[in-house]
Amino acid sequence: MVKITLLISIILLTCTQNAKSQVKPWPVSAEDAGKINPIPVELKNLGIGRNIFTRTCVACHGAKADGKGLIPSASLIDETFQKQSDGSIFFKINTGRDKMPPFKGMLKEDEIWSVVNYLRILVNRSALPPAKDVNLEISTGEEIKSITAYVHSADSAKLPFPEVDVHFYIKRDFGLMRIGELSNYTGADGKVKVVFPEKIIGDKEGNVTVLAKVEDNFLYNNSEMAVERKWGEQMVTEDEKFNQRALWGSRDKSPVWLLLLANGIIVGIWGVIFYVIYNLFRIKKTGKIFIKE
Amino acid sequence: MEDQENSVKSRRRFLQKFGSLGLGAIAVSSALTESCSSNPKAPGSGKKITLLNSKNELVEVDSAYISTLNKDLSPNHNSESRNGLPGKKFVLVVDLGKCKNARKCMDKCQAVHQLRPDQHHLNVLLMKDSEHTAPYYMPKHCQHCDNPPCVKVCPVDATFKRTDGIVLIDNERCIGCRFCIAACPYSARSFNWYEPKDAEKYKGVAYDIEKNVPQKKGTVTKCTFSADCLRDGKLPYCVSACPNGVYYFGNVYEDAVTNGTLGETVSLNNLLAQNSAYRLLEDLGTAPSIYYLPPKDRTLIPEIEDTQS
Repeated sequence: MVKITLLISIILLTCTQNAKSQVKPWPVSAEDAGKINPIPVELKNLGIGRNIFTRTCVACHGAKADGKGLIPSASLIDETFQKQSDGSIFFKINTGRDKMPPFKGMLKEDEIWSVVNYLRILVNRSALPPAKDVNLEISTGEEIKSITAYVHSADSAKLPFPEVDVHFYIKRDFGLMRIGELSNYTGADGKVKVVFPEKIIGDKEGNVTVLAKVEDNFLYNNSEMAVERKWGEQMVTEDEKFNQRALWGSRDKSPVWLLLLANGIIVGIWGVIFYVIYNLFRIKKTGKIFIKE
Repeated sequence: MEDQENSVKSRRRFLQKFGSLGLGAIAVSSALTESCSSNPKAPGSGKKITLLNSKNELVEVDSAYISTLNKDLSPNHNSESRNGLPGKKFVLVVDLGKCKNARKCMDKCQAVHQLRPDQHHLNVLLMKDSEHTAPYYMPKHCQHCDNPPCVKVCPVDATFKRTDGIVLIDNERCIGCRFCIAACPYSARSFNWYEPKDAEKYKGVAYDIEKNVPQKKGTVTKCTFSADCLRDGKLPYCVSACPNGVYYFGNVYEDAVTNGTLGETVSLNNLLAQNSAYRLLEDLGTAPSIYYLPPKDRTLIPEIEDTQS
């Protein structure tokens, strides 16, 4: 009995050791760990942090920051991660290890601190006021091609919301292309206007789908609206180029010179053969005439 | 009696075959002549459907007795896959500065296209242009040339170019002469010298020309630009598997390319102009559909010693 308990305890001990050794410890010096985050937790900075996060971190750490991205990595919403000091997280982002690249050269210090703030907010949403529902309406100007988004409250009162960041997009085959500035804040009347850019190619008739979105906002829930307008340039396809006669064309589209050459060779050779046979017959025939005479 | 049994058996075999061809309805209809009486509790819906049975007779069957057989049906796009998708001309932009040799694109590609580890539709190569230049990683696909040398030499019309720019190969036409491999200046094609990987697993799977699956021993296989994904409006496998944002994929006619990792869409012309993009072996006149952005601002400069490729 004692032996069995001993055995089990040994197994348990090795197991826990194994589990620990799977995640290599990442030592951070006391000096680095004790660094104070100079960036205040404000909406603007959180926005910066989120933008960097979606651009550089999501690929590996996943959209939910749970470590389930394209490369399996550490969960950033996990308790073991979150209990580290801001300074430790900063140090790790800054220097990197193994597959985690060092962001020293890519990001400014302030930007890294903003990312740290954003990571804190991920698990502590209650630090921000609850998000409000919004409705989004688009109207378009025809003389100067422009899109105006009007953001107002979702209830019947339709109170305009100022200072809301609206993103404008054009629909493309594989995604949405951003137009306007990176941030387009609504004015006091809840409206923001963006000019439709030049040289945008639509479908064969020039139709373009334009979208306005309130998204990834800490204070407002997502909302979007789309309109289709005949504002783009007409799409010019080059299908004729592919239907030309070319060496790489299919059988029915082989170049004329090739057809002439190949068929000429065939006709020429068979022609000679037939000519010889014909002459043989003629010789035989004349032979017969001679015999008769 | 024995004769009748034999005929029933042979009919079953016949039906099994046809069932797998997608004519499952016929199987149900003729099986009904036997099963209807043995399954009295199923109520008829009263709605009759006319079907053609294996004896080439038209029969009426109650719709309640018809169930669909969930068999692997041959992809119905094989016949139209020589034409290409209308209004599209696909382009891939590879940002060499971002490639860190994660090889996720390769892994995904080899898994999807049933390739052995030594076969590549896409290969990440370690490059070093000259003695004093820094090495970099370069993913190399089929370049889907607009003037493809490989298509020119195919004697059986097995490989072809579509209007959307994709160069595909029909493994059912390919005779394995490998002229195309010799003609390709990018070494983009590979040959099935042996039985393909997981040949057992893919037995009975209908051939998909836009995926080159199942692979056939003795034929050539190549990058398809994931034509099957594009038909569904999705990004190619390699593009969406990259964790580093290396690939931009899009439609030339629309002047837009989308990054597979970030999901960000940008103007193709601006991207190419601002980053001084280039194509491989431009002077051959092959007019590739793949552009490379120079390996600038890398976060990882590879060490030339650990040659993996």
